[in-house]
Amino acid sequence: MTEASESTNTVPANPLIDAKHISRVYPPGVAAVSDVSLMIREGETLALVGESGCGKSTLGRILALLDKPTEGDLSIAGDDVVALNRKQLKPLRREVQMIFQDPVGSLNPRHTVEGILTEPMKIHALYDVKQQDIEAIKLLESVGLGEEDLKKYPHEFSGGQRQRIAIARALVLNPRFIVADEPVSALDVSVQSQILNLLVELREKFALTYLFISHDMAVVHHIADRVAVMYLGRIVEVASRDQLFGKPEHPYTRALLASVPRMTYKKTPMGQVLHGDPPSPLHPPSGCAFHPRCPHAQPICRQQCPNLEAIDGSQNQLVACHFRGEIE
Amino acid sequence: MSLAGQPLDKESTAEKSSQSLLTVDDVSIGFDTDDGLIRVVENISFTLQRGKTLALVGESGCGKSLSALALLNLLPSFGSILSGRILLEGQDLSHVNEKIMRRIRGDRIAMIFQEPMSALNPVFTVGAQVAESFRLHRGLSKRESQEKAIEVIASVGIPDPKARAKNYPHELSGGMRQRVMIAMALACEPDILIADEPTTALGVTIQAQILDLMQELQAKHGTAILFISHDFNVVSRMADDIAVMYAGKIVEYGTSRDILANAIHPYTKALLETTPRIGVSVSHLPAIAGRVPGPAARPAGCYFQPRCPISFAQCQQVPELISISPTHRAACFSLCQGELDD
Repeated sequence: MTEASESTNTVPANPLIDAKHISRVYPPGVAAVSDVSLMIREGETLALVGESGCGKSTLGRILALLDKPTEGDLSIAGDDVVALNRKQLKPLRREVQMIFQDPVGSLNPRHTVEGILTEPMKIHALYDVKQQDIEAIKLLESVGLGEEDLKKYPHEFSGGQRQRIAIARALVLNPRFIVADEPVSALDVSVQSQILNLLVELREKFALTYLFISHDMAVVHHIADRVAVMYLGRIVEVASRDQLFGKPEHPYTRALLASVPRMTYKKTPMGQVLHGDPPSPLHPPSGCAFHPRCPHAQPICRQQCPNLEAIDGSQNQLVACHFRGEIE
Repeated sequence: MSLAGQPLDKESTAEKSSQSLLTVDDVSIGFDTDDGLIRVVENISFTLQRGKTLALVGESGCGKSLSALALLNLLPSFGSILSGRILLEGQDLSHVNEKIMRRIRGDRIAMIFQEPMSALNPVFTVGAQVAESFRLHRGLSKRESQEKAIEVIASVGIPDPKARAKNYPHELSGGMRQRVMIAMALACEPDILIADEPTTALGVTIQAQILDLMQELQAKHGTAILFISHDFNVVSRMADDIAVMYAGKIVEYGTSRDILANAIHPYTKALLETTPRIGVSVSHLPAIAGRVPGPAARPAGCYFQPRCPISFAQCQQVPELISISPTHRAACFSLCQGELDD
């Protein structure tokens, strides 16, 4: 099992998204994202995980072109986007779309499904008016809804159906890259699995690349090819799914995985692994941001922030820890 | 496994209640709407025992939170208990007046909620909010109750409790706020703690801390916990017993092992299968088609029948909970028919 999926991960594919040393600092100097370098290959699903406040949504918004980094370079399909102005960005926006956690907040309640789905076509002057409706129906069908839903308003749908509409809207412009920010977190388990299956299906059908932002490790294990773990604005580990879940290297990744409740048949304490709270970006700790909670912290961890580097010769597992490869 | 069972008779439930702390006996809850009375929770029965945790599991709208609120007489103004009894050591709480209920709430039965930010009062310090229950239920003076509050805040693992007691809720992290809620709930050492999705709003490392804290405190005080959750993975760590709810009814009830390892009801099975698990790789998650019917649109017969993969003619009738073993019950006709394929 491990080998099969690893081989798919090592297939050299072109990076669709290439972020280099990206930071996003909000006034008065709060760094939500610090020095993140991340590459997403065409056709893969990269999951971005971390606890609330770690900066994963900010990074997602930057990669979805909804926010600009205050530092660093970002290229999408080879085009450098940081220097572009609004007008120059417009054609690129067709390539990149976003799905949000809460489909109630992300769909305009005063527009019908038809309006929601045809608006992006109008903005980008795609199709004539008649064809727009035909395209909208095609999209609805591909997300499991139908023509009869075209004239309805968002409030007439259940949470799962609304998320389907949000997904259809993300597909309107035929994008290559979709940032899905906690797309199933607000849904019930049975609906969650329907939406996850739909996302997998659409990825094949439309040759999509996903950045899948989630805090739920079980969902991530299900959908991701590779996983990036964030802690206080930085990526602390990136690896293929099987490597990350099988041989996590960074102490935070290990703690994160150990904290996930797994099915047992008997009441059992979690045996908590981490004490304390994640630090606030207002008062980041010195050196490695994880050191105050890290069971392996040494003096150097208080002084120097470790770089994200390969643990062996290959680029399959990158870890930001002074003791990478040394901690049992 | 013998699948032939008998419908559970009322007497055996009544007998059990003598050893239990709280017994919910055949309770139905209704909403008064413009379209008339709608039964949202139907004939549920369960028991809470000292030092044990019962988990109520189900998807949103199944009535799990309402069932919990009914125990505290906190149903919304348009909701009421239509029938059945809620027995706290013999005292029926289903129709007691507000004055008596106020003495029970916080003292004998306490509750913690999903979102501590909206459950805590933003204009009082957390110390004052914890101290309140000592003044109300124990008649302590302001100073005594403040000292007790600091003790309790320390007992839930909050560092520097004296300083934290002076903080307002917004000055604390999510995990700290949930600890404060637990401190408030446990201040008077209640017999019963109701926890409604207590960790859903927290990150996983903090969730692990809070779940452990609840187990620790339970072991120390012998608290009975009613743990409400939609997450089987969390429930498996916390529960001694599990009741699975679907569309206002308990469809399966048993020990944690009965439900997690030997689930009988097609809904429980589907729910367990559709939950993604670490270490299990599938390209397609087994999904449950359709969705939970709203309380006004429940089908005839078994409520799960339109979505059920094994439904047959008899499912047009209403199934009763049937005993499979002394601890395990399920409401499904496949049990009588022996039609279950495993």
